[in-house]
This record gives sequence, C-alpha cells and structure tokens, in this order.
Amino acid sequence: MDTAAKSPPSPADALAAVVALRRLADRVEDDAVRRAVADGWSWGEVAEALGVTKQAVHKKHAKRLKET
Amino acid sequence: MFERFAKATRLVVEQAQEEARALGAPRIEAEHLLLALAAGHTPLAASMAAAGAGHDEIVDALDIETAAALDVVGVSLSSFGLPAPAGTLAKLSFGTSAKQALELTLRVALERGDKRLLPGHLLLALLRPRFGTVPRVLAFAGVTEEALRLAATASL
Repeated sequence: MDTAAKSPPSPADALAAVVALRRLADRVEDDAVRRAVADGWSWGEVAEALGVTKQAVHKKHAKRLKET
Repeated sequence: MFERFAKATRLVVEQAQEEARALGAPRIEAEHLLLALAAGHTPLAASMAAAGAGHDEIVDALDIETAAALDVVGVSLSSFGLPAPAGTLAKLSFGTSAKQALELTLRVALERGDKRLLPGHLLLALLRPRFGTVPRVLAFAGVTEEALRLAATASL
C-alpha cells in the first residue's frame, strides 16, 4: 500500500478492492443515471451510454427514480 | 426458507433491508445483516456493542474498509463527489453473501441441535467466512471474532 513500492497488492487486498470498486460503480451509476434522467435523457439514451439494454436500465433504476 | 426463523430473526432480516437502503446499496449483503443485528435494543446488540461492534462502529468501519480497499487501486471515494445515498423504498433482493449467511444460519443451528433459528445463530453464521467484507470490517473495527462468537453463544 506504499506509494514508493510498485509491487502489486496482495490477492486479498486486490480482491477487496474489486468488491469496493463494484460498490462504488453502483453508486456512481445510480447518481449518473439520476442526473441524466433529470437532464431529460431518455431511457434508451441512458442504456446506449451504459452499453446495456433499455429494459435492464429501466428495471434497475425506474422505480428508484420515481420516488424522488 | 424462513419458516424456522424465530420472529426476532425475521425482524433482523427486515432491518437488514433498511440498513442496505440507508447505505445506498443495490442489494442486501452480509454486512447489512451484521448491521441489523447490532441495531435496536436487544441484549445481543448490547453485547455486540460491548465487544466493539456497535451499529455506529460498524458503519464507521465500513467506510474505513471501503476507503482502504479503494486506496489499493489508487481510487479515492471523495474524488467522485457522490451525494449521500438517497434511501430508496424499492424492495432490495439478497446478494450472494447474505444468501449464504442465511443458509449457514440453518446449518449452524442444526450443528448445535437447536430447532429455532435465533439472531445469535445468524451472528455465528456471519463469523464463518474467512474472507469478504464482514471479516474485513470487523478487523478494521478492532473486533475479535472470538468476542462476537462469545456474545452470540451467550445469547442462545
């Protein structure tokens, strides 16, 4: 974890980083989708930008965003 | 799968959803079950707090664990300017770690010859995995597995 050393992290640390990155990616996605929709993006456009289907993005975010 | 869960355990499982929502998590994971066990005013929650694993301590340790894990790959949470999680009302599903913990709860009770699945069984189940967020968070909180195991066993 020292910046001076270029040695890769231990597998345990690297795997924990993967978990944390996935959690972070979920939160970044939630926020980015919310802001895109607020800016008038269609679900189709959001899906295109994320490289997933419209159904997938709708299923994941529509209900959550309707509450706000 | 919940038929043998005691009412108190079901309440913990329900509370886990609230914990996941409060943290903006997309699914209920094992760490949310741990938080749910530590929430509320049960004797088990009190002995978890006495062992250093109170609800707020776990929340803090989760933050520290996330920051430490991201730091390994040179990522800082603060650079994303994310808003505080907006607690959703959407029904969350169980992630793999939570499903495994719930399955393990049954196994723990069976091994002990206990019929009803109590919150203490769930805590023992959460202490089983050697890797993953829960053991890491407990380590960051400075809580020994042994202390929590004693708290769990005493509650049964």
